[in-house]
Amino acid sequence: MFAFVGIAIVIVLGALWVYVGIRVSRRVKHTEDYLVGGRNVGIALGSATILATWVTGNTILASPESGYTYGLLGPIGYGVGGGIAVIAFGSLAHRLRDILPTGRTVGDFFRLRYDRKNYWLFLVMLLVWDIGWLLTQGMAAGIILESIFGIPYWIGVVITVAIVLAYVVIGGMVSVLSTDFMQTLLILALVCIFPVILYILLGPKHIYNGIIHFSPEKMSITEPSGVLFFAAIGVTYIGEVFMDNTFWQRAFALRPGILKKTFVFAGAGWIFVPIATGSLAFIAIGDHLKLPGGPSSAAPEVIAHYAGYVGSALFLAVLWAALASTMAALFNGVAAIIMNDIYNNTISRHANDRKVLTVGRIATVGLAIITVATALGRPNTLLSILIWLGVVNAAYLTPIVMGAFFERVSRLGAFISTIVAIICGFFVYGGGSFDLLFIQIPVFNFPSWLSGSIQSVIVSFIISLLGTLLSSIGVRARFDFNYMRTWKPYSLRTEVEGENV
Amino acid sequence: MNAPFWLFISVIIIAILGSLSILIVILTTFIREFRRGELW
Repeated sequence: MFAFVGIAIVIVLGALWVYVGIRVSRRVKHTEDYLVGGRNVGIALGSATILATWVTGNTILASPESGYTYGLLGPIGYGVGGGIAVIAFGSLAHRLRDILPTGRTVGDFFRLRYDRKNYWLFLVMLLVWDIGWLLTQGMAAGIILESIFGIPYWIGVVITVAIVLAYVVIGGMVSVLSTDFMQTLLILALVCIFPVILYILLGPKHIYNGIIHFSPEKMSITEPSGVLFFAAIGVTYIGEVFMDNTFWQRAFALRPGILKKTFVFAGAGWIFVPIATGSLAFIAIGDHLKLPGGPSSAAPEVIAHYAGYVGSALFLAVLWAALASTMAALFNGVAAIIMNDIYNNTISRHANDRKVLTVGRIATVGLAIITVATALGRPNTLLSILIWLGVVNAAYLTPIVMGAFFERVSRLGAFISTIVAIICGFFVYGGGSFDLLFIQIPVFNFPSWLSGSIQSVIVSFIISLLGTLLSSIGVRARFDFNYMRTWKPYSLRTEVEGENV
Repeated sequence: MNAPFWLFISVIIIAILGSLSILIVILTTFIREFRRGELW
């Protein structure tokens, strides 16, 4: 019975988003509208789209999981780490609009700032990262709707992808901005309501005393595992945000005068969301609630147990809004790389604006088909691949920041440092071996304190930082940022000029 | 060292009020920008 209610909620919300998304898509006249929303987006739509993209289904479920696993420090670390990453990106976004005012993707920056080898290595890694993230969103939609609400897996995947595709394919970024605004309001409203009702219902003192009685270590603010999580999650998130194309598109989409302010506001706002959802896990600990689905099911189990049928239905709406908004941003973000970096900048520089726009729409449909086909196959290793891609994000943090702010950066040094950092990071991550799709690669078996996802990210970041910094000391040639400032996308040019890629 | 009750409840209250404040600010900014024609 609840499966039908769940499907009804998904269809009603989906119909609203498709209606609004298609209605505003009339604004899309050029690739500039499709990729960067016309470059004049204000604070309200800008902050809402940053929040909606960054609040994923994972945020709603993984933050309570971190609260259940690491205690009080878990959701705080999750919130502060993710929020600071967005705030930090604000400074980069401000700089980007100065040095690359006509940029559309992170690929544009890397192609113009570095050389061919750096660009292609980065583009491959970027595509693996963004497509990997997109595919996991497809799988997550099916898994969450099936495990929590009893909706058959394939129905969850197909309905979610079909609805998101319907409003993204025509309107691109313009449609995403509109639907993200509605989804953000829905998420923020319900994220506030659940903890208020449940803590008033059960009594905060009762929950606190229960935690101290059953698991006092969860209230510790000096527990080593919690402190390590708190300290390292920031690097992980900053790496993700700085490399991910959806954030770069938003940096190019916002009005120049409000860039920093919008990212700071959205980042500060994001901090509260995982802490609010994470507080649901404390109810499970304090009231000694059994979690048959494991720590990742803490939030839905708490809602189902204490808030009943209506609560679960509302929780489905939040979760699905979070999933759909991230999936929409990723469809547009990956399609942007294909239409801008692969098609217009590489395959066909003479293509006119209309043709590039058509390629973007075809790419979006293709990505939707790939997402459904992959998700229906339910590959077991997809999620673990995404986790170890954090090593790649951390390795690229330094080349991105130094490339944007410094005139002297060794291109060869950045290239080698990145490769070495990624390889070393994978060795540390493996702890004996790591899964790569269908094979298992044996690696060194390091002691437990030097092995794991957080440790691998830190190792990757430090090697890339030191390698790029040290190799750039002797560099004499200064990069002329005016080369980027005067660059124009090929689809907007009447004549194609020569370039170094 | 364990967090005292006041710290525990403060974290939760700040998270709820923070989310609510962001919601209100986004809504009011939307109305203001809509009236001025500065949405996008």
